[in-house]
Amino acid sequence: MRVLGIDTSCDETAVAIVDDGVRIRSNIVASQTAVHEAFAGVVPELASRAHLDAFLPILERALEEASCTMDDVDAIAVTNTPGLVGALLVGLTAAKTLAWLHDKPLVAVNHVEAHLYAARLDEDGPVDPVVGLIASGGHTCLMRADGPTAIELIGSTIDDAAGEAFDKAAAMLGLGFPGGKAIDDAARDGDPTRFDFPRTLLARDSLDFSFSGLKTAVLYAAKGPNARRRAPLLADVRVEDVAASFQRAVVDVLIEKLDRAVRRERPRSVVIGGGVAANRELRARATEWASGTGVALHVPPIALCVDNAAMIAGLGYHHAVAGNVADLELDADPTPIRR
Amino acid sequence: MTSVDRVRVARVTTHGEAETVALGRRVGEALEAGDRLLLIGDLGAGKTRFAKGVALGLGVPPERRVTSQTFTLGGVLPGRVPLYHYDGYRVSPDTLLEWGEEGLDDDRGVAVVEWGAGLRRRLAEPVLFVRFSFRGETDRLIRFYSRSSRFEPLFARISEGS
Repeated sequence: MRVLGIDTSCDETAVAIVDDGVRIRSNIVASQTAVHEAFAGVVPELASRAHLDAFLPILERALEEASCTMDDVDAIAVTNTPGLVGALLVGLTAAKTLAWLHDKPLVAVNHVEAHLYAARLDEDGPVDPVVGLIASGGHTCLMRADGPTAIELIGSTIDDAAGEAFDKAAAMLGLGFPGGKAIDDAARDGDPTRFDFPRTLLARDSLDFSFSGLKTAVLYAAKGPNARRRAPLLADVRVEDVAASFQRAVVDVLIEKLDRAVRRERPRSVVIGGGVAANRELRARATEWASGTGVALHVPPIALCVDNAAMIAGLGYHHAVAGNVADLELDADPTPIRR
Repeated sequence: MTSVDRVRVARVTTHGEAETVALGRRVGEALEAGDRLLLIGDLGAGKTRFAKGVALGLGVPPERRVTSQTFTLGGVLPGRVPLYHYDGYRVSPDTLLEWGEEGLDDDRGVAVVEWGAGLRRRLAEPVLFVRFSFRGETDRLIRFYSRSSRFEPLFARISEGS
């Protein structure tokens, strides 16, 4: 079964074509990272128009790279939650129009569940049950999966997402955007033990995350008490040391929570996905941790960790096979992920 | 009707996140559909914590998380009236207005905007400004301003509680 996937849940406009939930025929993402970079994280025009302008050329490219036409597509999968309603609606409207025009079944996909699915796009993917850590700019959560569509949320952030903490710490340190990569690079020349930043672990058995307190701690360490965000760094502070210590604190928390989840859920495989999975320290530490616990670790290639539509088409295939088909009344659900 | 005349001011110092949430809750209890709050303050100053309190005060179920909207730009939570929670950290005021149209233009809910200083002169009254400043690692000075008489009872309530 050939599925066309569409994702417009945030900044990226993405279209992909995937066969049988595993074989990626095309995976096109129009990213606005270049725009973000040029404006240091402030996007002057991040409007539904951007998705609208991008959508048709990207659809054409996805079909072209897959060497097929809409006639060869068996189902259309689209992200309808979570995200910003205005953004979601662009993809949703496009998907509904295509489904109606070409008389194809329409499937609704949860964006965060699709991040977990990304690891299954590999033929040697994870074996159930799976525990997944999804960490990105917009989401940080732990999930348990007993199949591609049998997913349970077992923990999530109570304030900021991990990727957001990276972006905001980078902004405070004047390291630019995107913050994840900037901190990762700077941390390589820093001393991760120079600052003892808080590791907020919440209750002893909690699988939730909190990264909000870390912001204040970084601000104080780098710029002194009561400092403003744009204040200069303290004279004796090396930005690399702050970056390395900050990154160590975030990774410590992510690994500790993953470890708790694995001890509780006893999975056969562990998946790490979302944009933060591109972080080199997280990848290295997770690999080391997994070899210690004996659980099989799956981290998708970076192109499938960041927002993309191949994961939407992949998970959409399983929904379609299970008969979870939506009608043309399908609406966007902007509410954050919930249990 | 809302009359616009003098600027009303109130200030409260909170000691720790729990007090910031409690203050937000007290404010939330007095809010009505059509009220717009601009939360202004630095990273880690307590804006999202305060928004959590506003949500509780508006009757949003406590188990519903009020998380940072920096990435998603905004979301809506179900309370006694809907709570529209926006964040302009990474977008221009124009974009925020465009994306936040549902909560900022209509009077069907309460809108709480973080990083919305750029909307200062662009929102219809009643607008309540809430400014957060660091006073040490855990203490925060929280100042309220409004030109709208609509918030008169709210200012009385804030002053009583502090």
